[in-house]
Amino acid sequence: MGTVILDPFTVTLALTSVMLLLMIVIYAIVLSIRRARTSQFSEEMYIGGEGEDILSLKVPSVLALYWGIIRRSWRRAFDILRGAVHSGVLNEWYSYMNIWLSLLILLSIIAIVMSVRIR
Amino acid sequence: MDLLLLVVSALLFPGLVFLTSLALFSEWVYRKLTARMQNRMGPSYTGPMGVMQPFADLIKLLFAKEVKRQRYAAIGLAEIGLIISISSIVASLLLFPISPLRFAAPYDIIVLIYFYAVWHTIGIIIAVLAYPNPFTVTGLSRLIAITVVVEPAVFISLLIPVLLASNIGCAPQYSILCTAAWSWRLWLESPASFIAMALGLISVLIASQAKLGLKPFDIPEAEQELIAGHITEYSGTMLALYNLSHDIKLAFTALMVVYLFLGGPYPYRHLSTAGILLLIVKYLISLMILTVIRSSFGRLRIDQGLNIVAKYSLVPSIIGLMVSLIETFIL
Repeated sequence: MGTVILDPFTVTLALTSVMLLLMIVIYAIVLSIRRARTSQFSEEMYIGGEGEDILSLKVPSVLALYWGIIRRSWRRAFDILRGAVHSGVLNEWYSYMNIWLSLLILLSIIAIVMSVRIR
Repeated sequence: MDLLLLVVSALLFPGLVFLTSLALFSEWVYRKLTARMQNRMGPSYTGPMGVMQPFADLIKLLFAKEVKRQRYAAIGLAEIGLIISISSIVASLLLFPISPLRFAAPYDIIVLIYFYAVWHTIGIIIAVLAYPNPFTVTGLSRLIAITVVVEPAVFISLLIPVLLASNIGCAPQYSILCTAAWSWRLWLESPASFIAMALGLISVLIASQAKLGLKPFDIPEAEQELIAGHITEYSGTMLALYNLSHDIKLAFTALMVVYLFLGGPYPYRHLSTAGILLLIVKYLISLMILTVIRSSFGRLRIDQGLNIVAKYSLVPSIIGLMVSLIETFIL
């Protein structure tokens, strides 16, 4: 039993080697089980039940689906932001930019103070 | 460092064998509890009270069922992806005090994030993309959308106990080992610390529910819409590995909550009867909370799911982190 105190880099390397050891062991077990049990029976089948010429036209890409989801779920936040920036009044645009830059300055001050305190 | 102890820790306790057993037991607990909540029997016949049923399911998938080849499938790649996702979680268990050989380093919370979030997610994505299909593609896009919101919530909430524990002087700073040993004191340390821990606990439980893909966040699998979403094409060994990976993630997440938020067996020792009992009780409580949430809700739509995670997990975790920053650097 024991605790090994190292630096983060060495811990990462040690745990990566543990992960590799585990991968080799699990892969050996899986390979020994799987080899005899692979079925070629349904290789030509496609689970959508459609021919490939139809499927290749109808399926949107992962990226398009992802952005679709993000756009739908963040639409409200986007509308609020657009309403704030694109009101057509120059003063509102100035105040929006001021708020945003103040937030950035505040965050940077917090980061500097934290780094000084941690040191 | 004792190499034999390292191998035993990685493969037996608390490594592969122990975590697999714990994962299968956890699956039984949550299946049984869900069934009782829904007025069903749940697993009943295999072993006492059906406790061996998840093990029997695993054996059946491994030894009795075939792996169906799909036209464009890369079976080897899918297996490697799933094995990466399992082994990254098992390896990160060596950062926790439950292991006989424990690794610790200053700032090793980053190492936990590297294994628990980065490698695990990469493994799952490799495995899913190895079986191209309209349903898997749709499931994966939903999975990635959820991951993008959930992972920040999980890790902001994990930062809370780590930050607070380092503030009261535990060493090595910002490490999992010292946070796990000191987290029970954080609840009693100060009112601000209590508030931050409570917000972190709520946030991590909701985010874990989404990370594990349990209801109401089982959106990537969505049976009625996508057949089985990102795991539609899996069968035999592949499905067994995916289920095992999911159960191991469930067990690890519950253990992580127990150690980093509920204090593990402390103030008792690991090898004392009181310590072991306390650890088991806390583990079952965190598992029960995840199960009760799972059994009480229906599936949400993807945009509803993202909004719920952002509202009830991401925002509380950010507030909790701010409270703990105030506690650490100002008070």
